[in-house]
Amino acid sequence: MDPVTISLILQFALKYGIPAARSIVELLQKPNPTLDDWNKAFDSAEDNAKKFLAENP
Amino acid sequence: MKKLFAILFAFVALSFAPGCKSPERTAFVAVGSVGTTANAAIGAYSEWIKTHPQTADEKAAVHQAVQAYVNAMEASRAAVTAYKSGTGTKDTVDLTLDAISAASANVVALITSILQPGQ
Repeated sequence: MDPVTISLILQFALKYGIPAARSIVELLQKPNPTLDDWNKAFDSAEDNAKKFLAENP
Repeated sequence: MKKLFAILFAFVALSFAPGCKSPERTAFVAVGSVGTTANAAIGAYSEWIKTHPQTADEKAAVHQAVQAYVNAMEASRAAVTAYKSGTGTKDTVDLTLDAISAASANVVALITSILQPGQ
């Protein structure tokens, strides 16, 4: 990943993502993910995407 | 600076997530890592368009790429659900993970090209 992309993502993450980053790290450290863990990971991965599609039809 | 280190730690942790590396857990971490990157890029773009008007082509391209990303994630969710219930295979899950990686890379590359033209 190029430095510009990293910078953009970090800027956004700094503004919004500290609790989300911590929670996703905690989630992904689970040794045996359950289906519920998987769904949480998918929900987190799709959160902004679904909001974007809803706000920008 | 403290916030920056917290975020950097999160990304490093995602890249080198410790623990037992079962195939399922590796796939689980992959979804989280890929999703975090794409999610952050989409969020950054959502903020950017509040102050920068999109061209019709940009709007259509980003919408299509983000929709493809969501579709890939939902297909993977269905494959994982089937796998965890015993009706699906790990191979199918792995195929969907490949699709997620590709869709995420496409979204990030497209958004980067719009936010930083010429990079």
